[in-house]
Amino acid sequence: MKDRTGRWNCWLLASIGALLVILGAGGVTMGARGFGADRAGSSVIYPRAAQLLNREQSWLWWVLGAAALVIALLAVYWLIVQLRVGRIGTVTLSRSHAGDSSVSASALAEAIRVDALALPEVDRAKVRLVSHPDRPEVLLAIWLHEGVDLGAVRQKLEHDVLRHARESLGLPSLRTWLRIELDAGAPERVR
Amino acid sequence: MRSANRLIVALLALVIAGAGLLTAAEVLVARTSWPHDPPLVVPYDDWLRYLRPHTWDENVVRLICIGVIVLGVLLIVAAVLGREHRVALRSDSPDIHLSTSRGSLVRALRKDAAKVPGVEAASARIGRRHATVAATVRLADPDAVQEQLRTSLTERLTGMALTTAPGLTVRIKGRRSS
Repeated sequence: MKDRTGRWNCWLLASIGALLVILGAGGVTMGARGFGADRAGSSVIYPRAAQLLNREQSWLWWVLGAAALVIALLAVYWLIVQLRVGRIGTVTLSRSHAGDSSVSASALAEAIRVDALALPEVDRAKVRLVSHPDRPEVLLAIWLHEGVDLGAVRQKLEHDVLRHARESLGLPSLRTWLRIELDAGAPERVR
Repeated sequence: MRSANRLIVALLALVIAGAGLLTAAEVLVARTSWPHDPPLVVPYDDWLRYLRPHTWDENVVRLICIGVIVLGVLLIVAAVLGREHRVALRSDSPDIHLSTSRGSLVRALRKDAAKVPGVEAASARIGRRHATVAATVRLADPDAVQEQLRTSLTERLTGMALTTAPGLTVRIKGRRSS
């Protein structure tokens, strides 16, 4: 279930959406005299705020500037997270003074995919290697044929396909995010 | 939808980052007059002069506020549609994280239910802790079909090795429920 970014995106979108709804509703209520006729007829630029910032509490500007900078940096970080694919090009097999030995990540992903597709229960498979060349992680998505015994396939995937991948890389462990879709077929509406 | 959400979030992040950096830079220039007299880029005095005569009860201001509400609702809808419901499955190894989608489970339960003799049509829904299968039965004893459905679907759910096995309710449509 390695989709923290997706979940955070949902929360972020919902939070910003809720904030916009609250602000918009506040403005509409203000215009509809919900906070009194005086407020409805007042300028959209709140004069007291300008006074507070300019004359009485000029240090507030620095607080505002710092807050804007922090928000901007967080937004830049979040933008980088969206653009980061995480896919790796190579997987390091061994490192030595004489040189490194590595294998193409796409070739390895294809080998895992072919292994998975060799199981008669598997209809489709998608494999991606992510994280770091020294510590690769496998994202494996499997679509199973209708009526397949999930327990048996799970065992085969864990004990054959993924063990084979782990052993071929010479790794003691290989973190894998295995997403299984049951009864593959045309997408249907979930009720 | 999740890819679309990613794009929306990236655009929002870009806008927020740009606005935040500009604000911070304008504050610095306004307070220090360095590297030159304010404003740096944003003609905020002109903007303030333009906005000051406008009041909250003007139609254009209300329309803008309604636009803000609509935009907010659209973002909330995108967030809700972009959610992915995953269900964790048991694994023999701590390094292997298994999951399936809730939609996939629903499909499997519905198809299994439809295969039981006597079931004309079936629908399923699954929540965090409970699965409900509703079947329409014709030309068969509803009680026997219900029992058969319960046995068959319980076996199927057990075989899936869900980390949290959901409770199961089988309903026979139009006749009786349990």
